[in-house]
Amino acid sequence: MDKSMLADLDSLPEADKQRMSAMIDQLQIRDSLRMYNSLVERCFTDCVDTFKHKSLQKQEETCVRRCAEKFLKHSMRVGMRFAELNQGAATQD
Amino acid sequence: MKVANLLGPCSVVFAELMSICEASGAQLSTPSASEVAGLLIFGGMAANNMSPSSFDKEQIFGMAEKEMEYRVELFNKMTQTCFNKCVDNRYKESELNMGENSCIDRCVSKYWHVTNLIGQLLGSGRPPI
Repeated sequence: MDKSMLADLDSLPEADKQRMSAMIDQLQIRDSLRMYNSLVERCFTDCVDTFKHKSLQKQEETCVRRCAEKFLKHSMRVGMRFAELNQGAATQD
Repeated sequence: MKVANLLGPCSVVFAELMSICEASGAQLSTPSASEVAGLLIFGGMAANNMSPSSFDKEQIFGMAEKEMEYRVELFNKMTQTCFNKCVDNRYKESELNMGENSCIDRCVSKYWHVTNLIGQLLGSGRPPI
């Protein structure tokens, strides 16, 4: 769990803090699973389109690896920018 | 992606819940359009007519949860849309190249603006036609 967020929760009573963390954890799990599924779908669709063999071919595997790595890097970058915008929206005006 | 990172420091609901925004000196100004749009999904609740104190804790927790879900959803949609628009799906390399990086930055910024714009349109109270 992210420390900086929990620091924000410090002002809450203990019970509420726990409830919030539990809520965030639950959301985190759900979101990770969703992300897993959608990443599999995306990389499978983009990388695997012939079914001449039963097992994943070398180039398909390479493609899937790159696809996953690239998506995670992309997701991190979007997260960074998103956080900046979120921050900005809260502090401006 | 850490869900916690998606949450704004002083979003409407969190502010209600912990009132840290006032405590830390940052004024809680009018909700941004995205938050208005976020509030729209709370089932047409009359958020504006009710003073914060009239919400009971359960409602506030419910709203906080909805807001978190809304933000996660927004982030996921943004990520997928911008990946589709910016990243070449032949995957010649696992690094994002410079073109892709700047495309992503612009895409995120524009997506955010569109979110705010639509939020304003929906929040303006005028009928859409």
